[in-house]
Amino acid sequence: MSANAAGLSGVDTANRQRRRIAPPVIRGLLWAAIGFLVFNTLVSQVIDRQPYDPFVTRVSATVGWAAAVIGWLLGVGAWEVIVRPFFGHPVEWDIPNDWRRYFMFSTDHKVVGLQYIFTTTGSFLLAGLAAMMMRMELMNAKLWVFTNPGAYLTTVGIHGTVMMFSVGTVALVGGFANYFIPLMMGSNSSAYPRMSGLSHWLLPAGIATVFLSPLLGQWTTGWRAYAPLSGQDPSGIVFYYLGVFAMTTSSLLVAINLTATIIFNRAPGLTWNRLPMFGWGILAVSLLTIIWVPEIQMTFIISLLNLIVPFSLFEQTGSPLTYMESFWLFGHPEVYIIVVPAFALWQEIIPVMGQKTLFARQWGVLGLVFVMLFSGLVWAHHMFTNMRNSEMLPFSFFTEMISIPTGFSYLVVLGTLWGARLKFSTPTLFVLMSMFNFLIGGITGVLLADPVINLQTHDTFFVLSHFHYTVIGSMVFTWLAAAYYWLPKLSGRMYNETLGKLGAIWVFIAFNSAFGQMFFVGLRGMNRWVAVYPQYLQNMNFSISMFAFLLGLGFLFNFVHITWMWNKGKPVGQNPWNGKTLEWFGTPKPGIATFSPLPHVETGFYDYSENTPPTPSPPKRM
Amino acid sequence: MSSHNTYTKTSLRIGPLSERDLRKNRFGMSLYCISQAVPYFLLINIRFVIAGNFVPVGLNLWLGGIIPTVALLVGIIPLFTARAALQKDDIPRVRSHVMTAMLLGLIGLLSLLFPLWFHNFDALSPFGEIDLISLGVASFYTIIALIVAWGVYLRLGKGLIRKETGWGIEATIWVYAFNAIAWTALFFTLDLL
Amino acid sequence: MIDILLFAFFWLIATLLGEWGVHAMEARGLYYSAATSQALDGEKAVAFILTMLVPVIAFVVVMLIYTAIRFRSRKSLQFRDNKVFIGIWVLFSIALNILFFVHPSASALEQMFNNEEARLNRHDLIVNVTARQWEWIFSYPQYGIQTAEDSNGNSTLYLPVNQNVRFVLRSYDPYHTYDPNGAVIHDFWIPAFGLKQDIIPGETRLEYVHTNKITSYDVDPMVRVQCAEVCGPGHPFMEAPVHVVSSSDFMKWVQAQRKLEAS
Ligand code: HEM
Ligand SMILES: [Cu+2]
Ligand SMILES: [Cu+2]
Repeated sequence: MSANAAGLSGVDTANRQRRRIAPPVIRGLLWAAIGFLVFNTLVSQVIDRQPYDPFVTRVSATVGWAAAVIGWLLGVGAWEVIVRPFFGHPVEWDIPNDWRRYFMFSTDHKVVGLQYIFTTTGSFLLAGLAAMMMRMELMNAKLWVFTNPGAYLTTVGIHGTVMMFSVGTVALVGGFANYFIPLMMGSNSSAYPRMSGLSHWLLPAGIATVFLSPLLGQWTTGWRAYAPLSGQDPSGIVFYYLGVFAMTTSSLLVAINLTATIIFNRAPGLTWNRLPMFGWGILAVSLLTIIWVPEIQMTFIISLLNLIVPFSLFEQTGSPLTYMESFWLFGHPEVYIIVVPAFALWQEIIPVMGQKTLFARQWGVLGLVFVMLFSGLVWAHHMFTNMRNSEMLPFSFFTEMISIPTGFSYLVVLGTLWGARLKFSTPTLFVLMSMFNFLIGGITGVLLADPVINLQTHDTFFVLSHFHYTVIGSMVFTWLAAAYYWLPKLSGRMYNETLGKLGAIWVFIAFNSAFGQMFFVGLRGMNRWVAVYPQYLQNMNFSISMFAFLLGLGFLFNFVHITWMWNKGKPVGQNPWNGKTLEWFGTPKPGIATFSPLPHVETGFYDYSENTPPTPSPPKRM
Repeated sequence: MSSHNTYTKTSLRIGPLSERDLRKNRFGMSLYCISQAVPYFLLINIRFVIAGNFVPVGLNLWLGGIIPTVALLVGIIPLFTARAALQKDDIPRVRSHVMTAMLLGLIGLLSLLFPLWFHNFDALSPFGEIDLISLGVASFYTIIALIVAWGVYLRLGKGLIRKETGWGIEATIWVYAFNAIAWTALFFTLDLL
Repeated sequence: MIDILLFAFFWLIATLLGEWGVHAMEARGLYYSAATSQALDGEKAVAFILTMLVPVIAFVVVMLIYTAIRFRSRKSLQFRDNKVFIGIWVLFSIALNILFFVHPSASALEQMFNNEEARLNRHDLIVNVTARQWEWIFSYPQYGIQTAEDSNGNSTLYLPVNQNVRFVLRSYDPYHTYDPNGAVIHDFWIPAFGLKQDIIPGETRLEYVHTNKITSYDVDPMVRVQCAEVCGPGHPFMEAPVHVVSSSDFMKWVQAQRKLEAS
């Protein structure tokens, strides 16, 4: 049975007339454009016509956008795969076994995973370009790249939003987990393949929406969109709310799909005790996503209505702090959504690279789970500057305590490293660097959890540097580690070890030089969201910018290297690292079932002692 | 392996779900309910932060209140009887019961939408804002429930749903009942507490 | 065994180096410039936490480097557990976090709350701070000064040294009071004073400082009011110079301001 047709089985093209349709992506764009035009016109010219209104108003843009996204989803294939069968029509959807499958609705988890990987990488580069423009502006204390501070702030907002919702939240979950979680579970499909196919296509829609927000006007709030400022700018923020809605829905669907995959699609013998660490990590973040993403979606819908109806819920006559609280209620779990899969991957990669039994595995699992549980208790540490004194101590307490379960990830990896036979490869290097970076991020986090220190460092470049240490320093570095680690599985080819190490050292040095200095510039009085700043900070900012450019080039170097080796690298065997998790025992080719028959798991995946067989769970015929 | 992976006409003859798949689908539905309950919690929370216990005098308790609550709650019953009828493979009966649920849902929807347009209290008071948003949210989920029921109704008509493949009916029950119960809770805390 | 000894040796060295680094930074001033007792408290808290954490940082960093260099391509020793190590790790991390919570977090907050006690603040200098987009307005109700401005008409903040100051913070636009929803969130921050406070429309907030050093924007650019919460395109321009002067100079300035406002 084809893995592709999971749930809707049957491969039989012989006696069917093939229907000809335009390439799905083109058709999606077309339907999106038509949807927007029709509904925008309907609202702004007919239903809600006001004198002197422009052709696109806040209300009409919202309705038109909804129509456009629906048109886009239907166009790329939801029409044939979901809507028509839902009303009882037969499914007619041809998925060619070539590059075209990446540009259409697909139910194969490997295709979906790769689609996510491409889309996230693209958005990382675009949002990174925005960061380069910001750093360019900050080279000089005066305005010189942007024509006005509002344009700079809009860029900051776009950068932050896309990085958070399309890179941070998605890269390791929508991308690598969609591809590898079913493989690690020894399954040929994810739990709800059609939903999974839909989820990816929401992501480019969301990214495009956020990048197009300047068409509606500037927005100066940054990615947190604090009210009441959000209500005062021109209308660009409408597309922020809508774009985030699309991107977060995508993440929500992925979370539901992967949770069910981990629970229901495990191969025979893959008991909870044997669940791979990455599985635990993804399970933890998925639960966080399922709870907190709907929370922020509702908050943003209320904010959007507040803006377009308009209401005054979060203005002076309402309650500005309520927005802030609702935002951070989600905002803090969000950072664990980003970093927990990275922790899990350290614990996945190091035992393989060290050929060493995983140390204190149960503490690692405990750590991931407790970080998840605690993450709902610490959110208000983003609000020390505007809360009542009595609220400070509990939030400070939980914030400091969360470093305990976080530390367990270090305990596990360091224990595994001790006495290992470490292969000093590029993924190893990236994991070690990622651990160093997160250490810095964590130490500065302890400082920030102290209210008295927080009152000085909040809203300065100190905080900016702290969270970039956690998102770039640890999550992006781990993302690259995973890319190098799994490249042989993704492409059947190996990267070049020298170039890989060069890339790692390059981004490590550039990253630490740029963001390390930001702590100090923050302490010296550099606050956030400023395109113009006092002259005395210029030297330091100039130096930061130089290293930031170097960092940008370093990322580019790594991506080019990976892409190149994806196509031209030296072919390698099934299992070049001698890993024991199940993905190393199948031949994952998109469009083809990975395991036939399904593997049967007999031992855990992390035992490298002498008396266990070299591969613990050779896929056995049942 | 042919060069195309294709869903064919035959693919819609979905076989009966295995016990595991059934559990998997139910699990997915419960995740849907858990995640979509969160917005309701947020709405209730914001209502108390912004408006306290205040309820305007001009509020019509029937429209956008008792009528949709009763209609939606009662609408759950014919769906269960429809499932029972499906066990006997009595398709016409299943259809008529699903239709009854849809009609009740429609009544609920209309009575939610009506006060959304014509409300005789100040929309720009903290309570008014939250009340209107709540009505909008409830209408949205009611529409979703109606669409799900409608699809099942059409599929029943085409003979695609049978005793062994009754998941569609159960899915409708999940979505429909979730909406009814969530709205009832919202109505209760918003207008009655 | 030799590994453990070697590791301990490097760990010790790294810890010593780290402590030396922290103390060098402390001597230079962790906050670069500290003109209130609140800022000094903050610096002390940073110094304490860093001093305590240096051995931890050194442990992890040395471990990462040591294992990466030392444990390569030899015969590996397999173990999945070490009760003593795990026990120490867990207990130590709990103890350290509780320590930090008790001191400096709770103790310094205690100090801050005490500073805010009304009975201790009967003789405070009161400065009403109004934030509008995009300007700070300072008035001194005890001295009848409506808007403190320099000769160019820019807002400026004068404070006497060794004095408790109570800032009364509000966000609204005194020039457009007919728009109740026009105000946004700002944040009152003087980098050299070591703390900041958000200003929420519709709320009145207080911030207390005790000045302890004569200084001014002219000699130290960190002695400025800077809006720290994004408040629209004008956010970067929402600054005002601060002058901390002797009490006699402060009275002279008050006289001059009064004359300026009378004219
Ligand atoms: C490629 C290297 C990157 C550089 C040089 C960079 C630089 C910057 C700069 C200069 C700011 C604006 C500071 C301000 O004026 O307030 C910023 C903000 C931000 N960045 Fe990055 N960044 C990078 C990558 C990332 C990544 C990978 C993420 C997350 C996954 C990220 C998340 C954010 C967020 C959330 C903000 C806050 C935006 C806001 O204030 O609304 N950045 N970054
Ligand atoms: Cu401001
Ligand atoms: Cu500002």
